[in-house]
Amino acid sequence: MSASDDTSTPHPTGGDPLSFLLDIAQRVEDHQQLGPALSALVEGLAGLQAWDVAEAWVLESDGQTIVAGACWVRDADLAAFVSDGAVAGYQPDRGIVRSVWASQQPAWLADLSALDERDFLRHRAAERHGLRSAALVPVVAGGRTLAVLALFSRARRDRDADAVRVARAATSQVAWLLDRRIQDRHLDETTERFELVSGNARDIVSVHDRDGRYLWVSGSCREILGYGPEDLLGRTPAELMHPDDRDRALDVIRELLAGNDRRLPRYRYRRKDGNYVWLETAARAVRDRSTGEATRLVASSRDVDEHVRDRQALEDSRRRFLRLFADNPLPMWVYDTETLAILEVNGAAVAQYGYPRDVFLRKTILDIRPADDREALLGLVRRERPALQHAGVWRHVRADGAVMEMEIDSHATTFDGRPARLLVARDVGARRRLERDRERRSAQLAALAGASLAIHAAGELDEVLQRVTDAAREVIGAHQAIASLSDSATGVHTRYRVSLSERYAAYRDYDSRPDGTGIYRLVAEQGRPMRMTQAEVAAHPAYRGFGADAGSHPPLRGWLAAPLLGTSGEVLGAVQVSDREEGDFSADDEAMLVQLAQVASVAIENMGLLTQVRDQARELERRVEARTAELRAVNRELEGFTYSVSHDLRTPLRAIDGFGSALLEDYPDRLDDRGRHYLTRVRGAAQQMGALIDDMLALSRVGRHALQPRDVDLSALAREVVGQLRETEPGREVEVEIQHGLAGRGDPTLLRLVLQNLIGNAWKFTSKTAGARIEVRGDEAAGDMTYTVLDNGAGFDMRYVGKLFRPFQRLHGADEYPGTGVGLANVQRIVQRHGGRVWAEGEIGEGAAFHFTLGEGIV
Amino acid sequence: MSRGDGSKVILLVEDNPDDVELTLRAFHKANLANDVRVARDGEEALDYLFARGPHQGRDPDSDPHLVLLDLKLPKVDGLEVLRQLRGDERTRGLPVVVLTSSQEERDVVESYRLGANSYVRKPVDFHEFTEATNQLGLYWLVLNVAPGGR
Repeated sequence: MSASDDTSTPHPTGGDPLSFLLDIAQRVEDHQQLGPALSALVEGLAGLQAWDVAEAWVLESDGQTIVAGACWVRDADLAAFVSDGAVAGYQPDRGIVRSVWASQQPAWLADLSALDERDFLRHRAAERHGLRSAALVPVVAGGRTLAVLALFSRARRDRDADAVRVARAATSQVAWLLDRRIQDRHLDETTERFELVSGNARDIVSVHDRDGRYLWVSGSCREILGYGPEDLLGRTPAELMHPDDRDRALDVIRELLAGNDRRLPRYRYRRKDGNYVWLETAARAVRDRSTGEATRLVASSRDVDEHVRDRQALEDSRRRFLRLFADNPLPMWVYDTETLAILEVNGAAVAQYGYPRDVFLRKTILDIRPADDREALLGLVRRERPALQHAGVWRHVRADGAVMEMEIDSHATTFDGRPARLLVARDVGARRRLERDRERRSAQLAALAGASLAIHAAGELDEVLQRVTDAAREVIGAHQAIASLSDSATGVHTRYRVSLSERYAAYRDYDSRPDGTGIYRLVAEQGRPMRMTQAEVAAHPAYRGFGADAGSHPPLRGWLAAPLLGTSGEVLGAVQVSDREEGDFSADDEAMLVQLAQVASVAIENMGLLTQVRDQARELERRVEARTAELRAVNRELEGFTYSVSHDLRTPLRAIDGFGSALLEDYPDRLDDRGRHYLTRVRGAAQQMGALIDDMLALSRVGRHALQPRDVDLSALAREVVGQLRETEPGREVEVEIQHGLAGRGDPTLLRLVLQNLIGNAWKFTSKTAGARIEVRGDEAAGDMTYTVLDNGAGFDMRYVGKLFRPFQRLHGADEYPGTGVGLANVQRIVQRHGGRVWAEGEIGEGAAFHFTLGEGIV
Repeated sequence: MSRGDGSKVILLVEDNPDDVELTLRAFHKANLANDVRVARDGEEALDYLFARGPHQGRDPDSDPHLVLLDLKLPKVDGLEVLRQLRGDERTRGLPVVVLTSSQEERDVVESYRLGANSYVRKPVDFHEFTEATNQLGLYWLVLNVAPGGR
């Protein structure tokens, strides 16, 4: 694309090319990076060869687009041309920059107007800015195009071989440097390219005129400020700065121009997106070599926003943390771990503890504890402790003296260089009270259950009351309790029991029966529980200070009472407690006492019934004893009587019989037959009466005879009885059959009497029977032995069987069959005393059968 | 009550005059010739036995060889008489036959316990009486039989 133009004018020469090359080399060496190197190159070439616009085109990071990486313009008007180039530069595979990029050969365009828009994209812009000629030089390293320098001049310039040579020398300098660095680093292509293009994207290199306007700025501005170089050229940094920083910046520029190189402080620049970014700038003035006057400013600005932000964040977080301490809703303070002095305290602590801040800060951590706890606290703080310690629950004292339960966590820290601990306190009093209440309630329930058992196990009323009072005190947790039964009419305590804790040991002997006029009377009258604080009790009109006993009565401290109610709702008495171990009586306490009162009421009522039953039993026993004693006395009397009867009644009979007999014997010849007959009748009557008396005595003896039971052979006994009968009346012919081996258990004497009577009867009532027969046998049925004495004698009428066993009742005339009528009565008494029974069957003329059993028990 | 030479004295302790008379008649009918002294109550019996009170200084020959003792007596009863009689050296071996009008076991047992030698039903049933004295081996020792005896 070489071109020649006749109208070319001599180009202005711009200084010494050799020093320029050295300068470039030095600057490239200094910067070691493509961006600054290109900036130096374009600026240097423009100055040396008097170009009006110098651009360095580089490949965008996308690897496709070519953009203006560094620019220099002679005056601000030309900035617009560079801006147009930015648009033009994006045209792929078109334009002169592209062709140079591709050919890697410099081009000299002496007359730009000769080119059409196809080849020169900024054809119109160049015309507008009066740019006539241009030179383009590639920067080639390792066979690759790294950049293309585009140099424009307003003056028409013909091809200048020297200028091209210098430019190529300068670009090769840059290329060589980069090529070496590439080899040195063995960077792969992509990384290298990226680094070359945007390697120092955090630095913006810029050149300013004396007024601070951008003459050239490196492409990294796009990344940092959002503006491309084309946006900035002709503007001043002040326009972008935060208003607060602007004046400082201008001052600094003036100083720079005055000759003081210096590092600029940090300024905030407004990015294209409106956000500010902190930049730190190093700058110096470029001076005219001849005049020494500052002509331009060169600046390198580094994005320090993150540092600033970090520091800012640090500051913010410090503030936040301070706020976290100061505004924390939990009480917090910091104390010196050696002196234990409180060094800092937050508002929540001041509020909750009630000490003004200055007072708080004069205290040590010992000062806010109860005296009793200080030893333990010292023990804790003097020990080696972990950095974070959960110290558990401690008691703290508020300014008003109230004690709070605080859960403490602390962490080691330093405060103004002193070893310290930061402490957080949480009031767990409410929670702990809740827990304690719950524990207490379950303990109360357990105690109530235990008390219920104990109360019901009590043997007597006073014991019940004692257990009720003890239980009331234990269950409620009070120092005083009294359980009382009262007279429903007068309210006077009929029985009561008191339970006092050690605190009231001095009152243990207090014993003054309440007269029914105190406040407890209300409980009985209203039949409902009452609960009062001491102030309420004392203010109550019914509270009379115990009247006459006020001096000796234990002092009350709060009062809770529940009535003892019977099943039909009548008031039996009351249970009262006073002086709760902790705090005032609660609704829970009241409910508990009411339950206890119910248990107690049932027990008391039961006790009443039990006592009644016991009293009745005792009364019965007493009556039985009395009756028994009476009976014994009567018995003794009866015995004395029967003894008298046997003795005294018989005595005259003996005389009657004796003298009658003497008369018959001594004077037989003085009596005729009739006289003798009368005397015989007198004697007979006397003897009959004697027999009656004997039998009567025998009957009473059976009753009094002490049984001596043993095994008895009834068969043998029966044989003896029969033998005696045969001896008495040897003339009788009676067939007797006795079953062998009849055994029984009983008193032998009395059993003999039974057989004597039964067999004797059979003997007697068969006396008129031909072929008399008597049988004695036993029949066993269901384990019971029934003994039978059977005869075929006179028998009896079953209609009168009921009379058989009554004493002195006879079914036969005495002249027919002699007897007193006592024998069967005796038999019945004996059998009954043995626990058996006796019964009879019979028919007149057909004989009789008498059965008896002996039973198991002997009565 | 004759008091013949060498006649053996029997002390009858009995308060009932009917029984006394019938008893004496029985002795008489049985031709027994003993000197029978009668004491009307227990106290008199003891006075006689121990020769005191009204009987102080009585003839030692009138010591009884046998005592017929009723139990039911005024003042001191028969069992008490028996107890004192057995408790004294002088009378410990004296044969005592208890007269009984009843079959009271209590009396029988108590009498034997206190040292009665035998029982005879009142008024003296002679069959029983001779039986009792025979058992005691006393019949011919203590009883005087009148020459005209049966």
